[in-house]
Amino acid sequence: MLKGEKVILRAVEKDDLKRLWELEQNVDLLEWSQPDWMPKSLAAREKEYEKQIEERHAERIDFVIEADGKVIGRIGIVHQNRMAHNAIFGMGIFDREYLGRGYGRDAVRVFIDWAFRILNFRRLSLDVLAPNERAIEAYQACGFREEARLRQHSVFRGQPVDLIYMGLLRSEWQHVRAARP
Amino acid sequence: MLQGEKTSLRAWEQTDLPRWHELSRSVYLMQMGGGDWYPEPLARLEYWFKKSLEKGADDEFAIMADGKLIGGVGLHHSDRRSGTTSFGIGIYDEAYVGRGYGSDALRVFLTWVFETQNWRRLWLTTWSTNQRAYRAYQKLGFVEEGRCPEEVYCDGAYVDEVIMGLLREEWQARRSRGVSHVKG
Repeated sequence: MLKGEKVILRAVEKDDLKRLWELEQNVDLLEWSQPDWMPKSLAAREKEYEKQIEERHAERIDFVIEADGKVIGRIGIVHQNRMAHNAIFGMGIFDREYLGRGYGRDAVRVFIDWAFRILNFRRLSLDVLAPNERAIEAYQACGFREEARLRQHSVFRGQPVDLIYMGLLRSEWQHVRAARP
Repeated sequence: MLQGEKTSLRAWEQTDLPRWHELSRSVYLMQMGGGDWYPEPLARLEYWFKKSLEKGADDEFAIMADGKLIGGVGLHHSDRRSGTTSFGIGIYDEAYVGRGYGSDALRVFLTWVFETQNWRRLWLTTWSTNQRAYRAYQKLGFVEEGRCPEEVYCDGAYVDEVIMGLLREEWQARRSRGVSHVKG
């Protein structure tokens, strides 16, 4: 279990699936990370979970983000390259009450520390839709910088939008961390 | 069940898994074992437990104290032809760390390894940063046999792996001198 100032990151338990499925119904929040949102039954999510449990060396490593004893979002590695020591991750806060209040960036900071200090990744990166200014600001506050902008790569609520790639090197993060009070 | 002065050692049961899951949340203590830490759901521990039943592995103990699960110890890399095996031990309840519970469990475990199971040589590896474990192993008679420089990435730095070993005859000699007595 990883502890931040406001959140804890922990494994996704079977008991969490119902709550996660409920959060998934907040389509307007899910769309930021999943612009092609589709309905999925709780049973389908449970089936996916069972499958993932049986994978010994899963590429994905998932956490739930918990605050005040409630699951409010997720964060995790979606792709990793162990030869090059890089990982791509994703994060989302799906409980409206906890949006824009620093919970996401607290989760990202804790996650970065784990990925660099314990898992020995050398580089972390992510992609984010250009209109998602709140997320971009949070990632910037954690030290990520824009590395590429794929023009009109995605479609968000019916409009073509740019997709932004952001990255952070471990050497930069140590600098960011040292600069924090 | 094997009985020590402070601890007892018994087989793992399915009912231990929720407690084990709770203990495995301690990033700091879990790192001492593998150098890393991943979020593991209870469902995965249950899956592995079922798998281990199919394999029929029976050289893993749960370490109990005050009626609670506090850690585990078990054999790895067992080679019956040469009579050598290695082990790993961990105390994962913060309240029981550094208070002799691990050493107590190991004294019982060593008797089981050398006498009941008739192993001739027992070895282990630990990280150079884990001084507490190193001293505990030394007190039990293990001697340093080698160091692999910067073998593992642990807590932000590359640290050495230390190999330690103990032969049955060394253990018997110490025991007959009363250095390491065992009850039960």
